[in-house]
Amino acid sequence: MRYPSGDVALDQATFAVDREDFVFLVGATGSGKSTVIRLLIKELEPTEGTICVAGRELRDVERKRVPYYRRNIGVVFQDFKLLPNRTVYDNVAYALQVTGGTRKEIREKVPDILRLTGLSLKLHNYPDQLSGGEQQRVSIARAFVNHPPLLLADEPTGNLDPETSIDIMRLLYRINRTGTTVLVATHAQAMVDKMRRRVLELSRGRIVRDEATGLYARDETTREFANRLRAPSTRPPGLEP
Amino acid sequence: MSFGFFLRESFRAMRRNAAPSFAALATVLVTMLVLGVFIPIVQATNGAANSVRSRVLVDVFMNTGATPADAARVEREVRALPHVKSVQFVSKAQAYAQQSKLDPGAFTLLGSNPLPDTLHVYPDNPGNVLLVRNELTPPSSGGKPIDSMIQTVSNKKNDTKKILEVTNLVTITAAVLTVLLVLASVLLIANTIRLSLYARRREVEVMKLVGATDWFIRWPFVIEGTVVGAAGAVLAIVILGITKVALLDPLASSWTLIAAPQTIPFWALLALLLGAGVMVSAIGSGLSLRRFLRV
Repeated sequence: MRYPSGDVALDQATFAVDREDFVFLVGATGSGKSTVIRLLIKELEPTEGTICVAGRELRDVERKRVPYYRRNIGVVFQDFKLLPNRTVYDNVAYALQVTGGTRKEIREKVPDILRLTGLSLKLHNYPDQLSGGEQQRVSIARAFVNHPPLLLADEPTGNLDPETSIDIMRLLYRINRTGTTVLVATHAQAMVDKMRRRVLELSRGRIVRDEATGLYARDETTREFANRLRAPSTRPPGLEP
Repeated sequence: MSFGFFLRESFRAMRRNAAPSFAALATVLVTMLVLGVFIPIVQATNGAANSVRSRVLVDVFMNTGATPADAARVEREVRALPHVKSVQFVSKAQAYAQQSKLDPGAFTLLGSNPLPDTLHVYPDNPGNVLLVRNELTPPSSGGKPIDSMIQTVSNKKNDTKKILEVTNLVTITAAVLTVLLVLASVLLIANTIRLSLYARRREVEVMKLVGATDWFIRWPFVIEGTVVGAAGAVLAIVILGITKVALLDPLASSWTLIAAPQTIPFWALLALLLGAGVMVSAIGSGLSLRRFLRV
């Protein structure tokens, strides 16, 4: 992948992610993490190579069909990207309105997802009245309200303190356990090491590490999972930086 | 999710972005006011210029000794010339009757009729009046009329030229001003819309990322443009209407320019303003959004 400016963002970054996986994409800033996300939502077109999502080549998705393609993917950003002049409820509802959801459907699904993300008491607040962690949970709620098969998160904890970050990761893990494939781009190395999920490391646009850790523990409950995250950093064996 | 949803969305946007919406409304209001005043003025000016120009003609005076047969022959010849739209024959007797009505005393003194038969020659286009005159008295024959029975051809070359030049200038100036004003109005409204959209480009970006189709995003903006444009135009119309009833109508009898029959009817002017206000802002909103939709 090459940008019009001539900078090469990704080069020989070939990888595959299985369904229902939880995968971290790590690397320093500028290593191409965000480019991967932007390619996956077809905000960018690769200059070379192919991208397949759910067996479909992205190049074959027409411009007109892109919105429909994006409805199958939830996206969470570092800067939340909420609509500033809508309440929490309306922000989440918008994702359903876009897909032509009926009012009944919205009344059922939105409170559900807000309960899951712990925002039931903030329904009628506007984004600027929320803390960073709460805003990020709204953004996750919006991304997940359609129950998309794939959830992408670009530095979801980049603007948050460690404790809040754990909450967010826990939420993402819970979403993963409902059968959604989750891809998280982050540079929070400590968090990644503790989570013991598959890690893809990018450096200058190349995949330099692809590792499914031996301690892959699928049946962990979210509470155990969170406890492990809070535990002091003990680098699991077999994980070299 | 249908029209009702889009309508609610656009009203929410207007409420939450009151200042830019008001700016757009004020822009439409002012431009429509200016257009509403300017259009009738241009038309009245053009009408006045045209009515002056339509009076431009060439008079052909026959010899006093010309028989009706001569007159008929000359009339045929004149009709055959290029650029002649119509020829009006005024016989000696008719001319005498007309003139003696104006000044009965003078003509009874004269006793006999000194007036010649006359042909009023109207050119097809006021600008061609000098061509017609040249056809009647070809310069090649030393300025002698084409028929020996023609006494003279009226020679008001300088006056005619001046009238044509002045009226031409007036018409062209009015046309250029109109074009400039319409262009400026469209650009001004488009620019205001663009600015208010620019402030909301992040919102549009987010909508696209959530999977909204272009038209799903665009409809509320188009409706918003329609409402704002209509509101601005209606306000302008109200102000124009009050001005017309309170100021112009009482003056119309004493100032002919205002009462000029060639101006656009008032209701048509209002319809035009309303249509233009709504169209420009609705289409402007839809089009200006294009570049922000390319995400």
